[in-house]
Amino acid sequence: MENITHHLFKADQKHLDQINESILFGASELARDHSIESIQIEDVVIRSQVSRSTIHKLFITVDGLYKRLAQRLTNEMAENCLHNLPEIPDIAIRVATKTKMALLIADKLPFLSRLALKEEWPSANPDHLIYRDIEKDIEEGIKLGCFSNMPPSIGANIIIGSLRGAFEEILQKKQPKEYSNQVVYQILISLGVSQETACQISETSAPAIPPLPAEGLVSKVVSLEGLETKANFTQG
Amino acid sequence: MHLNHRTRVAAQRREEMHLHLLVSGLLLASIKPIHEIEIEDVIKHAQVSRGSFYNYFQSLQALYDELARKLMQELFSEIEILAPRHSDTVERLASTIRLLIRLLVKYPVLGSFITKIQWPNRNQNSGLFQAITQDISLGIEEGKFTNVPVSIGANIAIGSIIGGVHTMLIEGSIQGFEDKITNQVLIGLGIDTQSASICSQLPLPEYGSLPGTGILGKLADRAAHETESAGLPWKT
Repeated sequence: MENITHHLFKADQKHLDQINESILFGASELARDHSIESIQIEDVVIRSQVSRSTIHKLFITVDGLYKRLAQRLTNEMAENCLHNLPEIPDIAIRVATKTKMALLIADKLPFLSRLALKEEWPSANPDHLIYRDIEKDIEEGIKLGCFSNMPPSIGANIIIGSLRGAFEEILQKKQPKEYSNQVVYQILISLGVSQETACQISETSAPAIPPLPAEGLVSKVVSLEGLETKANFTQG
Repeated sequence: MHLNHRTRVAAQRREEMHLHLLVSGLLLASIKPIHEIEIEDVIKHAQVSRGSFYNYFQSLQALYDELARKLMQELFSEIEILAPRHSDTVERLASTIRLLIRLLVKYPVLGSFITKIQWPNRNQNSGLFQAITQDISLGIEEGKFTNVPVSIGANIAIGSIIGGVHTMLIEGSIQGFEDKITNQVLIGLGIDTQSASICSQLPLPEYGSLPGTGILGKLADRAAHETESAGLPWKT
């Protein structure tokens, strides 16, 4: 027989989701003003106006909260970018284009990127949209003979490792104009593309970042950067 | 003289407790994500008071930062002792990467930790990762690697190591996987495919036991007590 739960004690999912959103946004606001590493659970309690035990129940620790925030942001951004990206039949050009777009995001949306870099890797959920998309491209490139015949995870790790490292570099200091070309070139030759082809592909200009979603956490976080989500972010 | 003895014993005890807390943090990280670990977990695992914990570390983040730094330093010393004396930069880098991956996969407690620490992290760029970066820098100076910013090459190498160790721990140790990773990294640094293949298959010494001191020494001690009881998967 089904347990009878009084409606007052039943967890209201909608309410929980609202609390969740409010904590995540509060954490974003805190990260705008302070280094993430220095933020304490008490700061989140005050900012989000929720109890310490609620934060503990939902995220366990402050670090867990920022990991969840990063996962949400990267998923929303990836979904938006991939949805708006035109079909690119050449697999090496496709990998280069996506990489350049990611590097452009790091350059134009530094606050969002700083939060996104808290995403757990490599031990995060393997079904994450970005990881699945990268691995799919690598598998296709290997199948078509464009990339070296290697286990796809090796190729995926080259791309993700390079991207994470490049994000950190870009966030630390302004990189020269040719930096993203160099990252793309190095990734392509690592995947087994010839140096000549990699050189040609890496010098093509980066695509514009598609308009950011009007709803969701990304738009709220971007508004903290003082930018309009409708803006088109282009290179340079 | 009496005072000297007491001072020395106190310093030894302090060092012991310091190591004890670091090892507790390491062992906990092998069974759950770092962002789910709280100070309570560490003090319970180490069987110390909260006050004792704060005598040594200001926060859990401080413990994990120091653990990562110390461990990378110890791993560097370990690989330096073990690695064949190559005068060639490319061969030395290849051996370092392969030996490191083998070591981290052989001791999953170590491997699991390396895949869970936040990378890139400017506070932890010491020891082994620094040695890898230095070899890449030297290879560029010698004209053996592509002339791009050192950090781009280092990101490919370090990202591939971290991601590769994670894959091997999850999917089981795959024969020669570390050689394939190294091969791809070398190609990515600009080495031709034939030389990359040769360098990534050079003979390497087998690992003996862990050293008797430091964090690795503590792990070795612990392993001696635990090998008979089915518990932590500390060694494959």
